[in-house]
Amino acid sequence: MKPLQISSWSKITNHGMWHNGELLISFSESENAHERLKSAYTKLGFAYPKFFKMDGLCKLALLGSETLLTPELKSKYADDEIAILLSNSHSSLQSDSEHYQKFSNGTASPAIFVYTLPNIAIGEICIRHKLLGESNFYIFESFAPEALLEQAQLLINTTATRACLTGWVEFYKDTFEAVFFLLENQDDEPASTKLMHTIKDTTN
Amino acid sequence: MKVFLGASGAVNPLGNTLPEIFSEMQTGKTGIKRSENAFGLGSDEYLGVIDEKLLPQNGEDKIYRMLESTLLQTVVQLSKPETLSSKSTRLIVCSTKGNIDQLEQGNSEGTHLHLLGKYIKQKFDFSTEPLVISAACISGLLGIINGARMIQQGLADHVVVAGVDLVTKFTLSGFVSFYATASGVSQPYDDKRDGINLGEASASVVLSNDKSIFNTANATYLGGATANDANHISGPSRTGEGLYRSIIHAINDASSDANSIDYISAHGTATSFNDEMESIAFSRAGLSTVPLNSFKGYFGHTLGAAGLIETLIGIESLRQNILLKSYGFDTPGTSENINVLSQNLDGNYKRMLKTASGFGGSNAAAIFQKA
Repeated sequence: MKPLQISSWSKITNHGMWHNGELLISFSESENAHERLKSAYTKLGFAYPKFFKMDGLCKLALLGSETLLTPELKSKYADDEIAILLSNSHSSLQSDSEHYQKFSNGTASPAIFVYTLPNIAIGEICIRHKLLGESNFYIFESFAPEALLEQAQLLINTTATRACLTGWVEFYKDTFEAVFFLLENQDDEPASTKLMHTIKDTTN
Repeated sequence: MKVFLGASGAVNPLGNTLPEIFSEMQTGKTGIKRSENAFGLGSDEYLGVIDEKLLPQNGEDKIYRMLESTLLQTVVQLSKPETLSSKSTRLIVCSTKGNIDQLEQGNSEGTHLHLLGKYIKQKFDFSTEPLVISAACISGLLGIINGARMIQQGLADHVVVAGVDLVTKFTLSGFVSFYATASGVSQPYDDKRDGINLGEASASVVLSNDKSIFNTANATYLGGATANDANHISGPSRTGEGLYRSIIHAINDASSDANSIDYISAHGTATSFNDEMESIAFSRAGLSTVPLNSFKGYFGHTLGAAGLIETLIGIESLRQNILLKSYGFDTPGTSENINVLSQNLDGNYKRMLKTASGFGGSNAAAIFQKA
């Protein structure tokens, strides 16, 4: 079994958005979190009105996966051969806090409550890209690439999975970070936790 | 490689051991009770809440005492309790919302789901880092599937899977806002079904490649799969596509076939759309005649714990050769014919299909055989 390689990666932080190391957009200091994500949406040429109904976590997950789940990639694999393994530390705490404010005032809203689960971000990616494969959402105290690589390899070895979108997606209190990796079996440098840490932690 | 399941623990509104819970269910008892003006939300709701007297009293928050209760049951059923501390033992914890009540205490840090793993690791002396899964209402079943695959691939010799969720104002207010709660005890698959009952539970089980660690191994895991509907984040697919695919993949993974399945422990939330979707998926998978039940009318929808505790009760059913009636079911209420149990049924049952579906379009299926 060949080890998995990072065939592409993306990253969005409060500063900007990158794809395979190339800066796609720098965010203006004057924009709030949702304005920054809207700037990224515009830059990527998205036309997906549902985006604006989503919470920050889902918007971020959609943006982070958009440059990786290309039409070329999707044509290489069947709809259940691309798995999605995401992770973070705060789960859906931003939407949880908003739902808490709502129900405390007696005005709970389904439109907010539905985002109080972290795996909704996976559901939104699956809907956008018509992916019906394996998925999982893990909660770690901090970024844990060794666990993600282990679990991605496990899916490749035991299921129909042939490629895996994995990474970290965190949105809480106006601070956000998404670092996504597309893992495939390719003749390239094997994915390593060192490389994943470097991509996440290097200030571009 | 064979994956054995044993040392099962559980606590829910019906009791604090699996045999006790099963025996209450066998006599047709439900743990769902009416709660007037539940959590001050203004409506009467039917809920499955665990009585404090069923739990250890150690000053911890309820969710931790639920975890302690179930894991203590698990430990005493291990012939080698030191298994938990082994470097080849992993821990998987499954929950949707964990200790979300902490938001009302102004302690948002206290809601962090990784704290559940940390608590179990310290209390029961695990030496490896826990994996915490939060994947809506398939979490508990996904935990078993994930753990079994880790053993199959040699990443671990043993995996302890624990699941827990509470009935909270947080969750109830959300389901009430969806108009998704039942007007009485819920009636999965019935023509008169009108919504869910929320329930709380914790459960735990040990998966292992070595059955000698158990006093008694209860079952083997044969295969499993998950699939996403890619259709809607809060409504099930009209064609049951994700559930159908997860069942087909699970059957293939188990090198099994639809004819060999004796019993289905289904999800059956008693919402109109979910149960309808399941009937379509089961029918498409050629499982229309297999006896099927949902346990939601006995103790409610226990969210992230549901797939785990329901698997363990289903295995107990195989072991005792009694399939339980699907509580609240009387008149078929789905467009596709399925064989919902309206009475307890004695027989000889070996192989079970367990399914779960949830928000985010998630679906999971796994196949178990009694040991």
